[in-house]
Amino acid sequence: MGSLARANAHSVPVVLAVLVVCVPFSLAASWRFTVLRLGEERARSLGIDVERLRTAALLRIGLLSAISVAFVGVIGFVGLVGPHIARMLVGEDHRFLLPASMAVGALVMLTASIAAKMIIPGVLVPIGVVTALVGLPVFFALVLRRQGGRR
Amino acid sequence: MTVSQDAALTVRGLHAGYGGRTVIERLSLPAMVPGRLVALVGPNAAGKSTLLRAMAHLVRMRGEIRLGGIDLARLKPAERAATIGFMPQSLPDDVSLSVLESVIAAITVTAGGGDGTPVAERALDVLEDLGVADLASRTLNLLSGGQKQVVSLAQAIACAPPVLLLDEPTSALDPARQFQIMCIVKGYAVAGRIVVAVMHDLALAAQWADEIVVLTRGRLHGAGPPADILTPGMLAEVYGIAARVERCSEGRLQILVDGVVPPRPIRAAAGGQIEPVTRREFR
Ligand SMILES: Nc1ncnc2c1ncn2[C@@H]1O[C@H](COP(=O)(O)OP(=O)(O)OP(=O)(O)O)[C@@H](O)[C@H]1O
Ligand SMILES: [Mg+2]
Repeated sequence: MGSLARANAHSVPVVLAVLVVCVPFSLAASWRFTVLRLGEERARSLGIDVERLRTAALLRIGLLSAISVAFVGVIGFVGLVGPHIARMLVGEDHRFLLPASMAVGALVMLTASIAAKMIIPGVLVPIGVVTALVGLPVFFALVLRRQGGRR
Repeated sequence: MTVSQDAALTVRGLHAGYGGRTVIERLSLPAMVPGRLVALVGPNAAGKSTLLRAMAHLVRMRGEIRLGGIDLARLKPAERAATIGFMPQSLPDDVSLSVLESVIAAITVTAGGGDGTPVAERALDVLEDLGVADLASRTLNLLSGGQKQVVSLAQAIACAPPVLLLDEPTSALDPARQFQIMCIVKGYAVAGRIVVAVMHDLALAAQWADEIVVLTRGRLHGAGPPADILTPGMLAEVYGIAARVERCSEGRLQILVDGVVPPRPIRAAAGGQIEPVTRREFR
């Protein structure tokens, strides 16, 4: 399980550098992501190269997750819960959804980190355990709600 | 890229399909010219949507599709997007995006077509023209089926492309909305656009279209003015229905379906008439 205890000051510049490289591309693609939500056909008919958009996004996602896992280990569910909460808050205009996802994700991490220090006094529970405890029920709630909506 | 005013859309030797499957084979169509509304009709799975997708270069295809002197395959995706407006048969569910945002996004990602007016204003104008300005701030997943369809049309025409390919623009609309939207679609044609609309309602097609193109099993069955195309013979052959085509007092075509024709009429082979299976036999 991942733990923030492994992070140190040396990791900050590296993470920052990767962010500086990735985030501008993501923000620049925000209109295209928004249109992709209107359907792949619609997006393609509006001139968007859907394959390229997806591949580039996956590359950035891979890079960002790799760098985080390299420094703090596997901390699950943050990437799943963060964007979903952000979507409920700001909708799916990706100009707002992308920054909101980053903010909510960071907030979830901070909250989990505080909880990790308080659950058992004197013991630092790995943060991955906390995010899993909170994230798993949220995950199932999302899945069930989606199925309910489709009926 | 400039498209001349009277450039026609031509389809020649078109093959189109999905993966290894060919749906449309060696299809050539009469030229589609600006000013005339073309209705594309045919049974379910005939390949109408596939043809429309092929004309918008959204599926695997081979053959020639030209707009005047321009080979559409040669255009860059952005140029093609500014030339062809495409309305898919359905919108995805569960999108929490407002109606206005969705139209703004459609305008923003498409290069060109701008005349200096702010994008939000143009988007609102489009919604107003279609009579759905009141939905502007509603989210897409809360719309009714008909409302969704009109919004989908708004997204397709937001950039005012010279060619419009509409896949069933009115199939979910009430009679009033249907009339209103067909007026608007006809207006696009009259204003000098090339408009092709897939339609299942043949009476509606007869009322509004200048040309009807009939597609069956990926092939052209016939094309021409509604009165020439909509005949009992065509309806029996293409749809397998026994139907009467009648003119009401103002001369409008009506199609009255009496029953279905068996796919392989045995009695017809013996030299007799094709015997329709009438409604009575289903009671
Ligand atoms: N995405 C797809 N992948 C594979 N095959 C498809 C796909 N879409 C359609 N087809 C097949 O292509 C054929 C033609 O389908 P198409 O959607 O073009 O029919 P259509 O004339 O639009 O019918 P409808 O009136 O029901 O909309 C069908 O046999 C269908 O199964
Ligand atoms: Mg179709």
